[in-house]
Amino acid sequence: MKKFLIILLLFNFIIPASGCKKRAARIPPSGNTVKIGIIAPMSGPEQTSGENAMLGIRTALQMQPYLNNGDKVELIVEDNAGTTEQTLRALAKLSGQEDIAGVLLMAKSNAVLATVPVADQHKMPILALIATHPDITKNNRYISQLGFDDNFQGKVAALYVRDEMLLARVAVVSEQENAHFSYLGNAFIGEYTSVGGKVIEHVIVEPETTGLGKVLERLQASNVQLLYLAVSPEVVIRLARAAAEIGWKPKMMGSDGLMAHIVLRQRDNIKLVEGMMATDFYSSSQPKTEYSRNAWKLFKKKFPGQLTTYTALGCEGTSIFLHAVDRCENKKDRECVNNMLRDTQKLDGLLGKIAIHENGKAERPIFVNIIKDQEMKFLIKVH
Amino acid sequence: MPDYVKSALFVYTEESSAFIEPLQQNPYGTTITPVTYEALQKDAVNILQEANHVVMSGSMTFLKAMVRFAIEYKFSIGLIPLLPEQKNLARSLILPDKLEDLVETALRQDAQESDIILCNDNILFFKASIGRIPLIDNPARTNRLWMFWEGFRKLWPLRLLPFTITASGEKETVIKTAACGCMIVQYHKGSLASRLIFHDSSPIDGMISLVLVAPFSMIDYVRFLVHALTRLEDDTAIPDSTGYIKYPEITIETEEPLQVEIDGDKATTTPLHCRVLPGAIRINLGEKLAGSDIKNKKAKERINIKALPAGKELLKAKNAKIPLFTYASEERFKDLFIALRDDARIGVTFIVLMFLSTILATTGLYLNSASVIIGAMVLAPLMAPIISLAMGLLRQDENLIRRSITTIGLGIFLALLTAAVTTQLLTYKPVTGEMEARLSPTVLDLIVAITAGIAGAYTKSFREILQSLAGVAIAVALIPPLAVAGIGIGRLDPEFFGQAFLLFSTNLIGITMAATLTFRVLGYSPAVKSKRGLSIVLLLLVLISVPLYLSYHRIVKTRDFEQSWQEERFLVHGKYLIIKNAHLSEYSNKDILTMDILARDQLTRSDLAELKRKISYNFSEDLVIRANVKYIP
Repeated sequence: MKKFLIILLLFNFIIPASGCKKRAARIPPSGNTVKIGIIAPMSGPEQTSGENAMLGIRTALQMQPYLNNGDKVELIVEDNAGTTEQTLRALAKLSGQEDIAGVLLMAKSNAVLATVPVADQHKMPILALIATHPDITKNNRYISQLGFDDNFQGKVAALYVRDEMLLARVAVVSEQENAHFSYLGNAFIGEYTSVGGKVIEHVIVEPETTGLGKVLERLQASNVQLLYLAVSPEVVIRLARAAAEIGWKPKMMGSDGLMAHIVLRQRDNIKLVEGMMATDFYSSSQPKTEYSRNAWKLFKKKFPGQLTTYTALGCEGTSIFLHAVDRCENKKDRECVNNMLRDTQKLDGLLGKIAIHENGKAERPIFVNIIKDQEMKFLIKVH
Repeated sequence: MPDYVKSALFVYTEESSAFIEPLQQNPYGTTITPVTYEALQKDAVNILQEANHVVMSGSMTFLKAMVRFAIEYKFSIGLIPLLPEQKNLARSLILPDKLEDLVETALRQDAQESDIILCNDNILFFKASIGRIPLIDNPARTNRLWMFWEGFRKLWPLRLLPFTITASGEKETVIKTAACGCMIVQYHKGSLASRLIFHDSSPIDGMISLVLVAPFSMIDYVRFLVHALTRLEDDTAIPDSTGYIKYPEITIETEEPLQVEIDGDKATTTPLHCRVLPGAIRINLGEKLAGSDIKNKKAKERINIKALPAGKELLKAKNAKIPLFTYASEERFKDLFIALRDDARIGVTFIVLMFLSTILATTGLYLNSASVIIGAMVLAPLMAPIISLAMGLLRQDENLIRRSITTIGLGIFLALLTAAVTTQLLTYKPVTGEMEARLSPTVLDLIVAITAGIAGAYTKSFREILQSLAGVAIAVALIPPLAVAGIGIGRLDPEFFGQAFLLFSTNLIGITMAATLTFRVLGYSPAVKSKRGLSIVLLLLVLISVPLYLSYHRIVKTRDFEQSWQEERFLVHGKYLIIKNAHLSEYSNKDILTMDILARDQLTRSDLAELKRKISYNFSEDLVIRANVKYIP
């Protein structure tokens, strides 16, 4: 019996282990190189997010260092400092280099929307990693989205609040200057009111708006049951602090990237947002795919630090891009790479299947997470 | 106020010469004549001829020699033990501690008659022991925890040795048995052995009391330890693993000569012939012993050897190291075996109950009624022959195995036939939840079966809890899966039949295996042939493991899948769908996902098609979806 168990254990451990080794040594290098452009905030206020995304990109490259023909993948990294101007400048620079197969773009919706003419002009396939504005893929052929768009995100948030939490009175706070937040706030309002919910007030704020305490007092007096926050993380924290000061603990729901930002950069304030929910691309407590397990193992082995939404998007985006390049005979043929990118079908992502359709929009699940006991916890997954 | 002897000899040795003065200065008016042992040996006839009372003090050898003189010259004895060396002697005869009290006791005129036991012509004062007799030789006053530890420590080298004991009295009885040791107890008041037989023995009953210790197994031995150490003072029952013989003459023979320790000295070897000289001496005893224990108890020959190995058990027991589990001959548990044989027999009652319970179960399954199905479980007579089969396997009783298997086989056939025919007769044959629940056997079902098997064997072993068998039958639910399998036949659906029959087989083998092991732990193993029974049980275990191992991976995946579906939501054409109660089952090689959908908006055919597409896209293309839509008002 003992022998049987030992043999069983050996089978369990040796066979998968030997399989891994074979996989790693499968592709002999061709000596050629394919370049992929990366535009990300490597300086400025968004630097941490950019660096975090780069860790994900490098993890994906560790998993697949060569294309299926043995070509090596080289990254050409350009810093956009988190601004639209720098993003445009970086894209123009990369577009001028003929041997660049495509670009992974880590920029907010405003900046990505501004790149549409450049992408079209240079026929440069761009995969937008974090931008979620629906118009990013509208009226252009070369920008695709890795994430879900704000229509989907706003709808899911509104329907979760209305149908699952069964709340009927909410207030929406949004930043009008930011195209993503502005669109998201309106998408939420549109969907929420269409299913019988009542938006008591739509509060427009800017990053430097003051007097939030008075606004919240007014909302509290109006028996608002939940605040939907289509605002930047800094504003979320200010709102949470103001609510705490007036002794109000409203239910709050935010949007993508908010939790990653709080975990990464607002750790000291995490207590303020205890109980806050947010829609997101990922959730740490979901069952992993095989791709996810491999990526996580490599990430832990190679890089210090915490895996966040940015890391995950960087990793997934790179793998999807490489998958598209792999399917082209000429790896530097941008037209082919773009077509293949927009024909991504049922590819294993970190927490589920991802597809990018012909219109450049991604089909992927969205998660609703919550800050509980000062940690991000999973609530539901919407397909 | 007691009377004292007018005169007495004091026979002493060098080590007891110090007592001359206290004896001579006694306040009881007794004249003391001191005599050395050497002088006595030279002229015993003259010195002892006229002596009525002799006070003596010296070594055990000296005392035993003096007892021989006492038997010959009929004088009474007063004893002054050498303390502290002879404290056991003093304790056994309940003699006082202080010298003046010892003198007072020794000079009294109320000497009591006492038996003398001679073993191979050696005088036995307290005890004689042969072989290993852990614990029972320990002084009863010893710390119990220490005694338990000592007893436990001596467990490993224990072996049962063959003994032939011839007890001669009014009639002669020859006993062939095995024991790890035995002990003759006379004046041994302090030991645990004397506590075991104190109610039935006295130094003047004209009998020899022999205690034998024979634990059948390590478990038996530990039980004996616990019993002996927690025994109440007024408990008169002889504990398990112990035998007790009380006869005026006992001969102990062993295959190989064994050392015999008499009063702590290696005095002789087996064969050992012991005889009692009733009332051979008169001795002054301590107040308590003289007053309470030296009653002229009715001397009755006794043999209590029920707990000792006999018959076939001897073949297993003798010269072997004691096994972990107990074994037994059929004679030892005659009533239980008669009951098990009855259970294994096919009778009209069995057939009628099988038929009725299957009809009830089949109807209950179609009605989706748990209470009707429970009624069928209670009625079903299948548990009894399975328990009999377990015992048959353990004891390699081919007759019992054959009968049990025939009965179980007939029961299965009847149940399948009845359920199949009932199904054929029904025009409407829905697959209900109660049926579906029996189409996916899991490891949990095996745990239920094993627990029920243990409970079944346990309840069967103890008549006082036999009424609990109904609860066991409900827990294990043999008939419903069998009825579902029959329904599968009736529906001409081999998959349906196979899954339900796998559940029944899991129950059947799980119960059999667990009951077999339980009977083994409870000590029902046969004296011989036990290994083959265990091999069959092990084989069954392997057999049951194959289908369960094959289904295990799927079961785990299914559970994970179902669990994850509690948190799955879908946005279909702008409609938010909440999934609840997702359940994955397999039917005709297809995965069927059954679930409740909670939605606020009316779902159209197009919505459902999109939902199906999303499920296929994200999970599996082969899923067959069955949804129950509930609307949120």
